Amino acid sequence: MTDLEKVERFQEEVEKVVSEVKKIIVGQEEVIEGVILAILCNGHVLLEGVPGLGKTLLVKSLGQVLNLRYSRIQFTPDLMPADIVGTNIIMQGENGKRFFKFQKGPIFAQIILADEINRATPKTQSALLEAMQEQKVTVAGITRELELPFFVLATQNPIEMEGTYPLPEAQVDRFFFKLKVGYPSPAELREIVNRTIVRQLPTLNKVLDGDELGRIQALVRKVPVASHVLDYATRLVLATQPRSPFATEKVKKYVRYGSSPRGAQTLIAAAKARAFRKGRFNVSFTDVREVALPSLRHRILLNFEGETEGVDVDELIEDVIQSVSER
Amino acid sequence: MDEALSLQERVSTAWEYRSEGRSNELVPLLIKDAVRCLQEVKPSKVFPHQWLKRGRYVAYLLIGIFLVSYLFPSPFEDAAPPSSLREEGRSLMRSAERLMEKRPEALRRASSLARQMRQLGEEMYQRELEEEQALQAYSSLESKITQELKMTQAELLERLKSLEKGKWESVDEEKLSQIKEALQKEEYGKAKDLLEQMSKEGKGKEGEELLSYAKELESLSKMRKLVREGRQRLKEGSGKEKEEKLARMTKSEEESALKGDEKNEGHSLAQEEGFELGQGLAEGSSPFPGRSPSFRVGEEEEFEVDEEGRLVKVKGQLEQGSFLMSLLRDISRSPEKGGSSTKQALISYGEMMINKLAGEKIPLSYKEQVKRYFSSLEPK
Repeated sequence: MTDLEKVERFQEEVEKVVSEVKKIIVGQEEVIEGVILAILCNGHVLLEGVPGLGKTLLVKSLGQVLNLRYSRIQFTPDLMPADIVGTNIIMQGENGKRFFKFQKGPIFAQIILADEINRATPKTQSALLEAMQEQKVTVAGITRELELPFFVLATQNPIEMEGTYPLPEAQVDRFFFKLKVGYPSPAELREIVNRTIVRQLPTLNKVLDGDELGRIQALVRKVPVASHVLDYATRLVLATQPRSPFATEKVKKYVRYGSSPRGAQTLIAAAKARAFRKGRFNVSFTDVREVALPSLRHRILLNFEGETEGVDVDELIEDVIQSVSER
Repeated sequence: MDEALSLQERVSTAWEYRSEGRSNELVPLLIKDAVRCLQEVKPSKVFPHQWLKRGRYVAYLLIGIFLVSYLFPSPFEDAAPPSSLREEGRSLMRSAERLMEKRPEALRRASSLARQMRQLGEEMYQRELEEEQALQAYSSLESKITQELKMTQAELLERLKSLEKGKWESVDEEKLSQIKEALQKEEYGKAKDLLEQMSKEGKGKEGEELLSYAKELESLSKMRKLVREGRQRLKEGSGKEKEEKLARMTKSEEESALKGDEKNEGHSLAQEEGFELGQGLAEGSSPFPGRSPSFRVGEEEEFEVDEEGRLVKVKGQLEQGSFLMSLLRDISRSPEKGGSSTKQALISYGEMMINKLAGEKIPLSYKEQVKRYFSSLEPK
């Protein structure tokens, strides 16, 4: 099989994944695409949207299609870190001798649905940090590797602020994308009702396994990026930082902290994945621009003035994109 | 290139990776993809639409000009002389060929000269001759034709005289005198018609011979006219060019001279000249007391009539004006350091002199004498 045939086969397989997910999820194409891009880059996704928009269903569907071990964690205020990562429990052997045995938590899966992640306390939320960043879990001084590929697809509800705890910046930064799940259109809503109430939900086929996905991820990382495109992505990220010479007036006025270097890494990685999805072998300026919102929106922290004036971070990023030239 | 052709940074990325020698399994695919995209680029994208549009307008304009010139020929076209030596040569060649086609070999003089005329035309057409050489060749050919014409005419008159002496049994004296008169007036066509009539009246071989003389005369006359006109056109063409060039040069020099004089002396010779002209002919006052005032017809023609309305004087024509001016200019440009005021004085003097001579009126009674004088100066 030639390189081109291999690439084309990978592209077809990813396309099949999308098609399968679309059997269940109506509309939400940007969200589906965003999730697929993040998976191709081995990144975690934070899905934000009101309840009932299909966030959980999307993640469940992906788990089925990708033939990966899937687990769901419903985050609640009383959820403890051990409930996520697992804990050592005392066991008694046949000879009556007691010993500790590690009971794996739901984190030991490949696709984790962290539902309503902001309902748990920061301590519990932080239990995900190591797993998300290093694909490892340390319990009682013992570090355990997680099976790859490993994705955390978290959902959070923006309006239910009562009894919720905002995610710590360090954790938010570990999410590759933050995707906003919007309301479906009337036609999409009718189709949702048709699929879920009138007819039976279709069964999903498993398209990709972990190994195959790993190979695709490796290939996506190799997509060439020209230095001037890389410079553009860097300037975009720097322009979100209020003290940077590239910062726009709005950024200087309303932003407390701009994007971290992870933002730049995400921009380029996601742009590579987008180029792959579009059937190209190089990253373009358009790729960078198209992935800028989900890559940067959760990495920009507004200042007091921005919060009080209700500044939309997405608008700030759009302003940055408009201001930063490609050359 | 990527930006202009919307290639999504394919070419620049491929270029960079190739030039830096960076490679992975996707780079060859990228290069192939970039090449494929470049091959698919439409020429209209590379050459902006505006340019093509403009080009199209230019094409339309050219077609329009062609159609207009084709459908509405210029009113000056017929009057205008052939613009170049080459065109004149072609015209001469065609005329000579037409003459050679029409005239039988019996007209040996006309045929021989027509061949010479054709040769001259060919040389001019092929640019083997310079303008001056062509003018000289024209003059030479014209002289030859005139000479042959005179000889033929003399021979014919001789033959006609012999007729009077009774070679023919019955001679129409009146017709004969008409023929002679026509020959003297150089009305060769009329002479030929009369001789033709005589020939038809049954004068046999003698009559045919006389008719052939008349035909030869007519042909030679036509040839002379053609050559003379051609020479005139060529002369006018080159003369006009030279005069225009000279006028432009003179004007600029005069302007500079005027500026200089205004600074130095407060007035110039040119101003004095203008005053003189203004006080003289231009205002209609007569320089000759007791005579009728002069009348201006158009800008160029000026003549004078007597009390009975008869034309008595015409304005002088000065063809040598340009030569004179060039001579004066050459003097003023000579390496001798005469200073700018000397040059200006020479230029102004030359200009004034030319105008004065051109404005001079020549009495009509002297016309023939003047003509003879200048004719005698012409090179033979």
